[in-house]
Amino acid sequence: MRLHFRITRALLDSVRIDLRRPHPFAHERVGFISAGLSAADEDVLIVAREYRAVLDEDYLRDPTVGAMMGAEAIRKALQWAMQDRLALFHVHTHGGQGLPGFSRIDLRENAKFVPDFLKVTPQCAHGAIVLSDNAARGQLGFDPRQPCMPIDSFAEIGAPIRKWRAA
Amino acid sequence: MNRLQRQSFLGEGSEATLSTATIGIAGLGGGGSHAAQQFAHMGIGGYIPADPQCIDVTNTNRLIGGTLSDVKKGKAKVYITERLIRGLQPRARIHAVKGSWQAATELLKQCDLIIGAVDSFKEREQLERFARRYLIAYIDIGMDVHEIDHKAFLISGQVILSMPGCPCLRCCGLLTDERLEGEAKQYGAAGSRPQVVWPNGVLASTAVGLAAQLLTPWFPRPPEFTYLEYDGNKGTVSVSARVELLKGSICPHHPPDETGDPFFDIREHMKRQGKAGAGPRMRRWRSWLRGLTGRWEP
Amino acid sequence: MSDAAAEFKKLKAMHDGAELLKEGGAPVVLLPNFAFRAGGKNLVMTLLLHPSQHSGYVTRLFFERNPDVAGNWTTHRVLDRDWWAKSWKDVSPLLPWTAILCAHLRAVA
Repeated sequence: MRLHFRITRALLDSVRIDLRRPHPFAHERVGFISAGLSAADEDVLIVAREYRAVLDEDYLRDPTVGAMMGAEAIRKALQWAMQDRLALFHVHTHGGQGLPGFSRIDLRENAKFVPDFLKVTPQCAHGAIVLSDNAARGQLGFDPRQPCMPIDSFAEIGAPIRKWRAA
Repeated sequence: MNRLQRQSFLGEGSEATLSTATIGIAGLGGGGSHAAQQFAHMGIGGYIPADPQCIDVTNTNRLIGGTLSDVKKGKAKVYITERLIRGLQPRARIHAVKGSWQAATELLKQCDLIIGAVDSFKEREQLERFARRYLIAYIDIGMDVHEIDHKAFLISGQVILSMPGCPCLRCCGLLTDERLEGEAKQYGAAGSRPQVVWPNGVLASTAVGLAAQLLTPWFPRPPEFTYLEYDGNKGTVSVSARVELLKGSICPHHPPDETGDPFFDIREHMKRQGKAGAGPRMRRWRSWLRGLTGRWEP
Repeated sequence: MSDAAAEFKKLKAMHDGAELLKEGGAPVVLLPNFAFRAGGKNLVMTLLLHPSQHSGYVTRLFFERNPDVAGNWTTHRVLDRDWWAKSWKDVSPLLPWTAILCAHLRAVA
């Protein structure tokens, strides 16, 4: 099974603009991209819908990491996922060019929140995306007992269309 | 000597980009067959052509690749298209569907671009909505012959590039409730509409040009939306006045929160993967085989 | 409560499995395993009520399969699934959704 992520250029650009905004105390900003899912033969298509930033007041002070979401941020995201039955992807950026990678801390935090989301919306899958200035990498979880799977490819839908392999 | 070397201006890596691209073509009549031929010339590697019909003698005035021998054999239009493509791209990945585009949705979902060369407003509306649901670029082509006076005719047509978030066929005024009502009243018994080969060629070529702009980097700042009107009497293709009117507008007819399959359940999908009986090794073998033969393996 | 929400509530009271969805911004009601009579037979299948303009009709009722009843039936792609609909005109979108549903069902009874 391969995973394919599609997002419009307009949405991706707006996510990048938002994530670049300085935060009063966090070193990074984070947010959530919602998506619809679909089967495409054996594969899964992840089709991005909207972006919501984690609000300034919903960050926790934690100097050991770039950004830490508080419980309220997670509660809002969970409510969003449950209400609208959609897939959610935690997103942040590492900047720079080329294919980014999840840091050890990113992977640790993904492994914590994704299973929680899956428990309340078991019909959906959830994951995380990390951006650079011109690419992205991601992972998707669909079973709380299993590790997340890497997203195989991304397509940035605009003129021209950009596609890249990410796993 | 490389068959595509004369189009190297399309940009670095363009040959590989075109080769890995997959294009859906809904309707393989006059417009769709033209487009398929040009995509094959251009080096597009993947095709999902869908059409339920077989060629008949009245199609031969415009169906590219169709022969009188095909008419005698009652050959399906999709297989004529497949033959046409393979004449230039023997290793093309072609999944021909002898059926309506609705029968090909699992394959069409995987396309980079869909060409809509369908006959009805209803089909256009539903095909475009499908493309929007999967964030697939959609290019609609169509032509009409209108009798404007006794024995005076106007040939007209359109090519519309419909990208997610940008103005759609409804925004352009091509799709309206009145047109859909009028079509519904005919109960599908619209009769044979006049069709000729050269307007289809103009429209298909224009669509292929837009596709090339979307897929390859040769054109700086290609449009994300355009509506081109064809006047077959004057021999012109012009940008519709609506393009300027719609500049910067966001399409209200396809909300961004309607992507994906509203009934998708990952648990059911994973169960089906398990029940299919094919483990990862078998799936990889099938995928390799499909790539080698370019044929669809059930 | 919005009109759509109020209308949906009445449909839900009629059929507990009803689900309010949308397409093109317009509300659409999924009615899974709905029992009805068609062509003199009792049938159970999933229906989709579109209580506003669709495909040239002011309202529409879509059927999971063709219930094999006389009339002009066409196929449509709605909510990324294929459905059958009978040509049945002029069931006003101003009616309560329960009445729209019943009017369309009378056309196949």
